[in-house]
This record gives sequence, structure tokens and C-alpha cells, in this order.
Amino acid sequence: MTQESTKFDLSLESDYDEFDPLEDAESEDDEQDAGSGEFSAAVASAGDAPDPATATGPAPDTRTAEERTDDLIASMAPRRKVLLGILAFCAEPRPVAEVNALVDEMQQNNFSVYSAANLCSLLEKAGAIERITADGSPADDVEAQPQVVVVDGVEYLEAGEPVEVFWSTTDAGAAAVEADKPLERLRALLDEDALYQPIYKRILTLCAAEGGSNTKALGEAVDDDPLVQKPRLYVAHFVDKLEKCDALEWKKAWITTEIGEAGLQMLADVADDFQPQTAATDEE
Amino acid sequence: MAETTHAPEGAQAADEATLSDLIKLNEQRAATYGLLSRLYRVEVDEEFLQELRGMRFPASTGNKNVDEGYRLMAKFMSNVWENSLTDLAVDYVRTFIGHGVDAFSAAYPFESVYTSEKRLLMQEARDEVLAIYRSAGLDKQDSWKEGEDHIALELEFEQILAKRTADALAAGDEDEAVALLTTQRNFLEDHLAAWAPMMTSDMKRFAKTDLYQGLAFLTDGFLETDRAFLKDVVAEDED
Repeated sequence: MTQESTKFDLSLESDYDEFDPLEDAESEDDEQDAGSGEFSAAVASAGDAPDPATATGPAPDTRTAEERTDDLIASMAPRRKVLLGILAFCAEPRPVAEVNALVDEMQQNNFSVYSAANLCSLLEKAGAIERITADGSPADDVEAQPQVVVVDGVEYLEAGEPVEVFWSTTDAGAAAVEADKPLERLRALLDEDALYQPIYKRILTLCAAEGGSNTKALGEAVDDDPLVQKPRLYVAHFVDKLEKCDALEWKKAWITTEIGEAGLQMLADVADDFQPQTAATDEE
Repeated sequence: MAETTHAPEGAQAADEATLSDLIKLNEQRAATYGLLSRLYRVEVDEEFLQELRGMRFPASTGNKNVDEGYRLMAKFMSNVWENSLTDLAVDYVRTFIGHGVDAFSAAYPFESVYTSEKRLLMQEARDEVLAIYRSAGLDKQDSWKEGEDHIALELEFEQILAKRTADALAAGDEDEAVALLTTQRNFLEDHLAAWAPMMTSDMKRFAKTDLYQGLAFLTDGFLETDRAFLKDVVAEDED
């Protein structure tokens, strides 16, 4: 149980006459207060402060679990796919370690400051997933107690064996998965941006090639096109929209997904005369 | 302090046993101070969590706060799951850092906050403990970016002096041991015991996990018992 001393340097200090940065920091007011004899040594703990839960706390959250889940997914748009991935994966109860591994894999090429534990905690707070035990009971209701062991006549407490915990998607979480229809979002996007259908087709085609495509190559294919000059748009604008429809994903290159392939089918009749420069160069 | 010189021959074996017990006791005090210091210093990491899970906590020490602290900590360790480190990191921030700007939003682990009228950092308490550390030949490492009156450093100071006391006793230097114990008593009474109970009271309000709830109780109880021990052992020597 011994701990290494890590924050002190045990060597003797030969010179302690260092400049005190606080010396000149006291304001004249402070000095006057100190000299007036009116300084009160009384101090307060947080117990003396207004209770933040009652005095300044937020209003009770009256949203339903479905609303909280939808709001969470909407407010964390860059993590939407991962959040929905967790919800879909946990339709059957899954050991926490498996869920963590899934999230790590999904975020392998899409770094986030949110760990699997963070994201699951947020989903749990929203009511989209819950912690359960192997028999389906809420894990919070099962509290393991320490074991009492006797050593040389003295009683000690030892950590008991923890109960295995599983994540399970709730009805609210399942509803969010059900409501997510990326193909419909893509269809709506292509209808709304009908003018730019050749651009979308070009991007999806380039990214459907083996190994996908990178942003630079996509930019060379799109940014000089007359369609994107007025108003001036760049390829990142279109890639972002396609990614939000799950038509593209980044795996160290932009790759067209199954949704994107379906989008290409929708755009089969759209004419696009673009010829990739790299292909021509290769032929030369 | 047990007298180890000029003892009657018949009492020599008993004195040696007492000395051995005293050395062991000071080593245990150092270990407990070290444990508390580590828990306050930074969040729990995987290695430390495993170390805590492997510990045996005394079930009945005679101090109800210590017993409650150990019970809560053992209970937390009995319910560890894959995301416990994240739970603890979140609770550490909630308990010791908070998110408000009114100086009442967390159990701020600095003596200055609890001993200055406006609950400010880097006040007189920090200057005082810094001077005491330096008088003992100690200074903080450059990697430590917080004030020197952080509870982790004050606890570690007691840890180091307790270890030095055990070493001095083992070396037969009783005068040095007495001086060290006196310094520990004075530091505990003038600093740690003067403000830590206010901080642990706040910890009990803010902490959500049994580990940090338990830490608050254990800190209360251990400082109570150690204060009584130091008071007795130094008074005995002064008599």
C-alpha cells in the first residue's frame, strides 16, 4: 500500500531567497484591509453557499426519453453515426467491453475526444440505452458487497467479484434507430440539390473506385467545374452533405458506402462528361 | 515516546518491542498518508485502480469515519466495471474542479480557498506551507503546476516526515524522531486539520461515487486518529 513520493524533490535546496511573485501582487486595498484589523478569519465551506441544486439549478428536464435521444443525436451531429451504431449494436444486450471495442473501431479513422464510455454515458443519460445484468435486471439495482476476510484474527474488507454489465438499447433508442433513414435523406438531398447532381455523381463515382479518393483529387475534379463557380462552392461542401447522408465515409480515404452506391443508382441517368485527369495521365 | 536508554535490564526487551512497533506504526502512517495523497493528486488510472482492487481494508479500526471510508471504498471496488475509470474521472472533476465561478461549486482542494476570506487561491496559507516544506529541505517538482497548499502535497509532506521518523527510529536517533514528530503535529494542527474537514464536508456534497465519498470519510477519520496519536506521543516526550 505504499506510495512513491512523486511531487517533492528530496534534494536539499541551497537557496530559498527567490523572488516571491506574490509580494507585489497585493493591491493597496488589500494591504489597507490587512492593516485595519477588520479582516475576518471566518471562512465558509460550500455548505454555507446557496444550494446550487435548488437556488440556481436548471429547470427539471420534462422531455421524454425519445426527445432527449433525438436532441442528443442532433446536437452531436459529427458523432451521429457512432451513436446510432451503438444503439443498433445493443438491440441485443452486449457486454460493455464489446461495445467499447465497436466504438473504438468506428472511431478508428474519425478521432473524437469522446470515448466509448463518454458516448454510452450520454446515451444512458438520455434514456437510449441502459445497463443491465445477465438476467436482464437493471445493473443499478444489483450492488455487490465487499467480502469480509479474517487474517490473524483481524477482519478486513476485500473487493467482491463485480457483476458483469451489459448495455441494452431501450425502446427510445430503438425508435431513434428506426427513424434514421439515410437513403431517404440522400434522396431528399439529390432532389433538393438537383442542379448539382453531376457533382454528386462525380464524387460518388470517384470514391467508389478501389481505394476510394482523397480530398485533393476530389477538389481537382470538382472545384473548377462551371457549376460551382456561382455561387462559389468547393468540394468539401458536397462531401460533407454526402457524409451526413452516410453515402461517404472516411477510412484514410473517402469511400462510397452502400448508401452511396444506391445513390449512384439514383443518378444513373445524370450526364457527366468529367474525365479523371489521373486516369488520362496513367494512360499516357 | 518510549524511553530506550538507561532502561532497566528487565524492561529492555519490552522497550525494543515498543520501538519496533513504533517504527512499524510510522511506516503505516506514511503508507496511509501516501494513499490519501495519491487519491487527491490526480484521477485514478488503470494501474492504481487495480492496486486499489487488490487492497484489504481494515473492517473495524475503532474510528467510525475510517471504517465508513474503507467500507465505501471497498464497496466501490466490488462494483467496478469496464467504464469505472471514466466514472471516476468525471467524479474527480465534479468534486474537485466543478464548473461554476462562484467559488462554491466544488470541494476545492487548496488550503488557501478555505482559509481566505474571499476563497481565493495562492493566499497566505500557500506561502506558509511553502516555507515549511523548504525548512524541511523539500520543494515541489517542476511538473506540479498547482499551488503548494494542495491537499495532496500537504498529505505527502506528512508522509515524507512519517517515513523519516521511522528511519530515524531505526537508526536510533531519537532526538531526530521527536523533532520530526513535533513538526508533523504542528503541521497537522496548524494546516491540515484546520481546513481539511471543511473540504471533506464539501466532498460529501459533491462526490457521486463511493470512492470519493469514502475518501472524504477516510480523510476525516485518519486525520482525527493521527492528530490524537501525534498529540499523545509528542506530549509524552515533552513530559
